[in-house]
Amino acid sequence: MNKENKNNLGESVIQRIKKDNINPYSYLYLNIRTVLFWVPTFIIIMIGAFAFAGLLFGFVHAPWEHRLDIHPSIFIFLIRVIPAIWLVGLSVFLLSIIRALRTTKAGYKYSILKILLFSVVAIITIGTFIFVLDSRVKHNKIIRYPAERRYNRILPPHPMIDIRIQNERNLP
Amino acid sequence: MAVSVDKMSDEELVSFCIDDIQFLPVIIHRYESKLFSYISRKSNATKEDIEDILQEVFIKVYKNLRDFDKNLKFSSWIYRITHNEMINWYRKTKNHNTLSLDDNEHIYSTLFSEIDLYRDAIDEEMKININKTLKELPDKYKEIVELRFFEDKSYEEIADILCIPIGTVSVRINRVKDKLRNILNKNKIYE
Repeated sequence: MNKENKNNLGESVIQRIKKDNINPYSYLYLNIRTVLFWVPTFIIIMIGAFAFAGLLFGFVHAPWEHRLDIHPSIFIFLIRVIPAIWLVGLSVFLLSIIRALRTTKAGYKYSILKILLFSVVAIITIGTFIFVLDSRVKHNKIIRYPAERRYNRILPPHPMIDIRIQNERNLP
Repeated sequence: MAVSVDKMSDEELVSFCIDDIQFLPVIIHRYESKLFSYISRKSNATKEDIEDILQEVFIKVYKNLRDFDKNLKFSSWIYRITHNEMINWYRKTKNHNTLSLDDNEHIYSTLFSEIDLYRDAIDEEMKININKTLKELPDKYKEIVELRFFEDKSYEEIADILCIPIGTVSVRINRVKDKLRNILNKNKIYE
């Protein structure tokens, strides 16, 4: 190598590298670091998917037969029946994904719209999968219990409805 | 070693440098003065401070050689590391980006051609106005001005250096141009 290319800064950097025994990071370390950057995104998408599964559960299992007892407007009925906390949670998770994805290696290249689109598709797909799995394998109380508690709270006191809910609860 | 290092691309040097540290001074030599002016324009750091920052930059370059993304230009990558190191320095010293133009006619001509204004002479008052406008810009615009107008970087390179989407780069550049046009308009320079 041409010695003329060496300069003071170059030499001081080399000296420090040798003195502190600095080495380039290994591929293993760099790969682990890359995976770790994706972990927050993955966790947020999974929590968002559970929130979506909860919303889906709330929507599908809403007491449609008592709709008029709860509220004549379908919009207000849905607001009262579907757990709002999951809806708010979902929005928070979507915003968090933008932040988390931006920290990944190539995350900055994508616009907020693209990231949101990717997140929504991922959350809906995984959420639907969780919901289907949940209803086929066994009734998971993480999704079911809060929705049921909510129905019990908002349904007007009616002996027939109480009996019906009681019967539905006793179903396997 | 009979290798003509001058003809090697930066990317080739990176791959050689992983196995042989003796190639690092060549990379340093290629970027030292460019990065020195970049840092000095961005800050009021002393010569010693800038040398310290540069040392940290090149050590980080060496540590992360295997992490260099071959889809990026090496210059974008090293500018990104420098940009991040500058942010660390601002935090440590509680300083901020102080964009300063030296009295270089070329810089003013570049600025003017970017806003489609061609002038033979640039008077002192105009320089003062432009300097004032640039200094008053928020940091996120100053970074763009530095990279686009003074370092001659493309939109894509700026996006890679600042880690922002290319659309954001273009929006910010247009806003800066509008601000400059407004200033020149006020002074009846731009028509």
